[in-house]
Amino acid sequence: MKATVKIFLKEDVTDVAGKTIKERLISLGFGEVKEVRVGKLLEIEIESADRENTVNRVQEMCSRLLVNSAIEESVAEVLS
Amino acid sequence: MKIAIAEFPGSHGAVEVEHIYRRVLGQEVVRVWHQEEMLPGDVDILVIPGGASFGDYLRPGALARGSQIVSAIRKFARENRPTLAIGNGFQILCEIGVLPGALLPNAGMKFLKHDPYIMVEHTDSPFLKGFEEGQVIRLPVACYFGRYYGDKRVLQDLEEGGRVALRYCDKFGDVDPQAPFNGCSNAIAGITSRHHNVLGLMAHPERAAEAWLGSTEGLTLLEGPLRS
Repeated sequence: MKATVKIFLKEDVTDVAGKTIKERLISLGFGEVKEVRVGKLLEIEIESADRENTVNRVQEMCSRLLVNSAIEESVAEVLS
Repeated sequence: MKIAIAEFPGSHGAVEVEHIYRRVLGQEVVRVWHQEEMLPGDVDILVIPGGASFGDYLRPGALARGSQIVSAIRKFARENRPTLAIGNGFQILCEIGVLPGALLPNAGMKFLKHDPYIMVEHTDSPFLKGFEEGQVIRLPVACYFGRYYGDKRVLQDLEEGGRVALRYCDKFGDVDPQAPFNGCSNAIAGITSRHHNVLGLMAHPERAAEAWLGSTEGLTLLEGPLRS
């Protein structure tokens, strides 16, 4: 199975890269841009046939290593 | 005294820290690789040096979570023994939950290297015994991920517990919490654990520890626990 984990800085943590990219997009004429958030995308190949178990294992990976809850939030998805 | 330096792949500050403790201060030093499960039993001081452990992948310090030595570091810190975390070592201790908060990229996304003024606000840490409260010192910083961040609850806990031991200031000792050079919360340069035995800071005392380097204020910090 394949899982993806998207990791972003929490709303109240300043995303300096996102802000800078937003400003550059606006200065290039994309005035409609309201917000840019820069994050990470992880793709994880997992040897498992049990979807529910995989979802739990990925959640555990997020809390034990992949995501630092002091500054980050994440969206994990298991693709079959 | 016996000093242990915990090294991870990519730690590069161990050589300088060892030099200062061994050659300048005449102490016994043992370097402990991250795959060791224990620190030698007779260690008095633990240092987690700077560098870029595991290439700073994922987040600086994050991948240290998988190393065997981490539980020994947690135990040593919990036993209220003097523990110093410099630069990437500070990031590691935040990642493994020994210290609260996290280190983010500097405001402006820049690698910053200079000698900021730092106010010694509290001297409860064994490493700060050689300073006066309110003393302004200078120590070199050289980092990209140097912006200390704590949420409201963490900052309140640190401030109320007298745990913001070091704060960036100007040369007169004035602190502007809105405008620290790297954008960090409350101008925080260094924090201590609840019992003050653990000190984490982004600046490098080992690079200001001999007169020919231009300053010995870092030496005063490193030799702090040898005084008591």
